[in-house]
Amino acid sequence: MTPFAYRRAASVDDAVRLGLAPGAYFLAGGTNLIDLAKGGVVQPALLVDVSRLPLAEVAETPEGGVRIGAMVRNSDLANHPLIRTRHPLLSQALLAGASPQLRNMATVGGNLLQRTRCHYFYDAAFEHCNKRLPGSGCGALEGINRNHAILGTSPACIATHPSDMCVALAALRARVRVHGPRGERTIAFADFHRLPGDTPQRDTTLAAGELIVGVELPPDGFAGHAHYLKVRDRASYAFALVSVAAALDVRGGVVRDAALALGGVAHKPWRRPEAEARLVGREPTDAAFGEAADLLLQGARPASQNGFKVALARRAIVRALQTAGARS
Amino acid sequence: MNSIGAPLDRVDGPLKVCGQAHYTGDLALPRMAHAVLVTSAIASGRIARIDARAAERAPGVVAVITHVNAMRLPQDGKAAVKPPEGRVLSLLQDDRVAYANQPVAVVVAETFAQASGAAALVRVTYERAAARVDFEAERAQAYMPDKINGAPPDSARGDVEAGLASAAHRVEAAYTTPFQHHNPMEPHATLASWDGDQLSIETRRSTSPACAARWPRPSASHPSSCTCARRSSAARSAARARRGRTWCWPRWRRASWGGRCAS
Amino acid sequence: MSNESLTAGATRRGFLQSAGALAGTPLIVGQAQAAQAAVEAPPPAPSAGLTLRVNGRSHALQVEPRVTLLDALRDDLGLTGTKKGCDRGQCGACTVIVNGRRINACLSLAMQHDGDEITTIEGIGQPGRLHPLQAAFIAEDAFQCGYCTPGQICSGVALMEEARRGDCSTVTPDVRQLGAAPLSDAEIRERMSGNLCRCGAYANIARAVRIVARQEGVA
Repeated sequence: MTPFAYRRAASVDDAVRLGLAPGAYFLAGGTNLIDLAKGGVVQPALLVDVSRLPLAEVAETPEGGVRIGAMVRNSDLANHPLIRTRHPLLSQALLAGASPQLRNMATVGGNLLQRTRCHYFYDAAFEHCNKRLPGSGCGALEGINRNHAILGTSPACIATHPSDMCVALAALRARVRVHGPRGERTIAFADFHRLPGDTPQRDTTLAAGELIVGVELPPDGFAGHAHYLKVRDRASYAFALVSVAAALDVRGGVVRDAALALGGVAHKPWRRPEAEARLVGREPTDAAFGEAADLLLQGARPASQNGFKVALARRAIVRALQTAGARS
Repeated sequence: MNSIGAPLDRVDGPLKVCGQAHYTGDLALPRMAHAVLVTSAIASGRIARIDARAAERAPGVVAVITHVNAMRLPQDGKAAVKPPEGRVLSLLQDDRVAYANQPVAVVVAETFAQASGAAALVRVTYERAAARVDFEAERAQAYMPDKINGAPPDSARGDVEAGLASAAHRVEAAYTTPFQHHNPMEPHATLASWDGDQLSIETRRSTSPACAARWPRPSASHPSSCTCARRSSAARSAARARRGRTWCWPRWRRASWGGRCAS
Repeated sequence: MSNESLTAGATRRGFLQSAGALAGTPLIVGQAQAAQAAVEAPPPAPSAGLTLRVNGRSHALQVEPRVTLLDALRDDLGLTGTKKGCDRGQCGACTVIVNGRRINACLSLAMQHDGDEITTIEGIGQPGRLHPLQAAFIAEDAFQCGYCTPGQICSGVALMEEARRGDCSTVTPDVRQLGAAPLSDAEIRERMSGNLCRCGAYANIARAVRIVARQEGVA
């Protein structure tokens, strides 16, 4: 890695101030940032270590939701009794990602901000990547794109967001709390990550210097019927080809509410409220699941090597909803 | 041998499970420098220009070796080495790039962090040529060499056609080697140290005597003697993990050049 | 020297004189031609002091910020039991235990661990005083070349503690059920999946872990 300075932030305000320096990056677990720096994909001038800020709590909110600090480790979050019992979908999603060692290091904030694993992006010696070098083209478009996006793409970028945690947070309608130079604000999860459009170099809607301080979950965690299904080339320690976060609130044999989001298929977790609404007021049948799947996958445009993801995603959605529905 | 069939504990077991078995990368010598390769960003073509100024000025850097300043190999890489199957030792000898990630520079520095950081500062400009990477498409260019490992390339025994024709059962299958495949967990590593004209090499390798025989005879730029030590702990299990640990002399050259530059 | 270079000679430092020694590992570094990094080398980030507590002993170190915990352990403290396999967090050979949790030391900076309690393979046991898992690896032939072995063992030791705590995994049937259920073979394999072994000793590794897990009452 090229040389960089290192500072441990004394407080959130201190972190925000340091984070405005040119070439500054926030460092928490380091599992993605150090990897990117080793590969020369990023070349930080300053690392601001925020890992020891007092942002590592998981606590119930007065409304019955959960407030999660940005520095909570993935493994701690997945194993927290509040999450396991009330928001098992999030626990399952976290446990499906990475390896035990990486889950022990990675934080909630870092997981939100992890970059795509598109190999054209990750190869700093490759010159055609609009995300890394705006305007230079996209090597994946006509290249090896088996694991790339089928939804929300643009001619500039077909990368996917690699996180499992984020798919569950999208389905659960989480909110992201950030603290920046102009104070604190909350971002609806659907608005946190971006689609590539003409500016794939921007993954999120964070402004310069903003630090993620926490994530909030609403009270309804769909604890009764939830399933995270991850389809991948290996049984473990691999990114998703397609993943589904599916959850149902079923009462009296009728779906009252549904949560449905896809991973591995787009630049951000893919969720459409219309697809969820298609299930509400109906019995949880395969036919209903299929309609929701079709709606969610509307507009899918695969690249040359990932057409299989369309059919795979449809089957995975139905399977995930079936499994969620069958849970007691 | 009365040990066959008897359950035996590995004699190197306690060392290995305690992390006390030494692999090449674990070795350290006083005032040891570290070398990191800069590898080609293109698969075929030539190096138009290498700018190593920033790398040379980086803290802790001892040398940056490129095709411009690398030692010349005797007889353009063919002397006394008889590279297998006609391969010419092309190590930093010219500006040609023959494959992706071909080493194009070696950065030598006091610490690994300094060497790898400085390697990122080496600027290489290429003239790219079309790369021929489609195995099936290039099959028409395949040729049979006179010898492979000193023996005729093809051999035949019996009458295969007759056997297949008269067989009660036939199995036909085509096996391909994927372009990505496993490698042993231990990375390639070489430790080269000079003592005057004497060069000692420690490396992860299972055929050291054969390697030593291929070292070139003495000349102005080559050592008068060479000892090749193989790491006994790794080599003892070489039978299981031989792949990837055979031909390694390009790596030895780079390490020994780096050591020479450093001294 | 190179096409464009300051000096004609090879040596610019008196650091290495006679009997120069060189270690090389072919890590791949490339550079996109259109990258906008400055031509000039950036000013060196000064080394800073930190304290690492490793295997119960305190060590005062001066390292650059970019030095990983793995390189600090191996190069600065001479604890070479922890191995560098991929250096990118993909193989687990660098697994150590920090504040009771297993991590990949290659993706962590030494500076991040000032004051942390670190256990490496050297702290798990020594020949003649083996940890039960180390003894089980020998008895069950759970290694061949041995390179992944320190990481496997650190992972396995930490796994026991996670199981005692009641941690669940992606193969746990219902994460809503709290408490520590006995580890099945599938659970052990999943929980060891962060450690690769190219020699393919997985079956015996899993067996060694299972045997000790049963002895410790978590399987």
